[in-house]
Amino acid sequence: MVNDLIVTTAIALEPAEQEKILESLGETFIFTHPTFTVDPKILGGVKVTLSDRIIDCSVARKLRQIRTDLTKR
Amino acid sequence: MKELLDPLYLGLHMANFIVLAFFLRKLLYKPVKKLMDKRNELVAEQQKKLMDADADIERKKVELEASMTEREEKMQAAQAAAMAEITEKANAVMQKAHAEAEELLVSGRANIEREHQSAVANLDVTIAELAVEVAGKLISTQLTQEEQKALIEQGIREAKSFGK
Repeated sequence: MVNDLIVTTAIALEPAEQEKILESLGETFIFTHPTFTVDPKILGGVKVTLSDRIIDCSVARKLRQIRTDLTKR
Repeated sequence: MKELLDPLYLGLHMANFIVLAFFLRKLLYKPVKKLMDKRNELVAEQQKKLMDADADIERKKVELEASMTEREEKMQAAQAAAMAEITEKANAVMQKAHAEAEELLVSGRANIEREHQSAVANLDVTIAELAVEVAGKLISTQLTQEEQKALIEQGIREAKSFGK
């Protein structure tokens, strides 16, 4: 099974930094065709998209979660 | 003078007086007495009529007073009944107004409480949204490259933990 990997960050990364990230993710995930994109809207952290699976570890998602928790009370 | 003392003359005078007295009695005294009796009867009859009229007036006066008393009692009874009815209606209106006022008060308090809760909830939401928005702006403008990279490394670790 072929998994396309998209790594989204808020700032642009150097190729060495990208390679380090791919190595780290390769320890856990199997993927091909890695792509790095920049999206300032995520504010910080990283969003990993593996085919149809999205692992959102961005600061924007955490802020959304905090807002949801606060407004629920 | 001698003639006046004549017994015959005296007898004639006496006879004359007797005849005169007889006729006076027959022709004058009896009719007058009869007339007087009749008048007395008429007066007595008129007095009796007057007394009857007085009695009738007195009786009518008593009847009128009784009628007036009865009417006055009836009027007082009607007035008391009307007053009781008015009082009862006024009490009913007062009770209804009081109940409606109480209901409005309770409803108003409930509305105020709901509005208060809603305002507090809206305020909480607004504060939360503002806080998150301010935090987002601060993060996007204040984070250094090093801090951004540290966050990326942390995110990679979290992503790997989801993959295990």
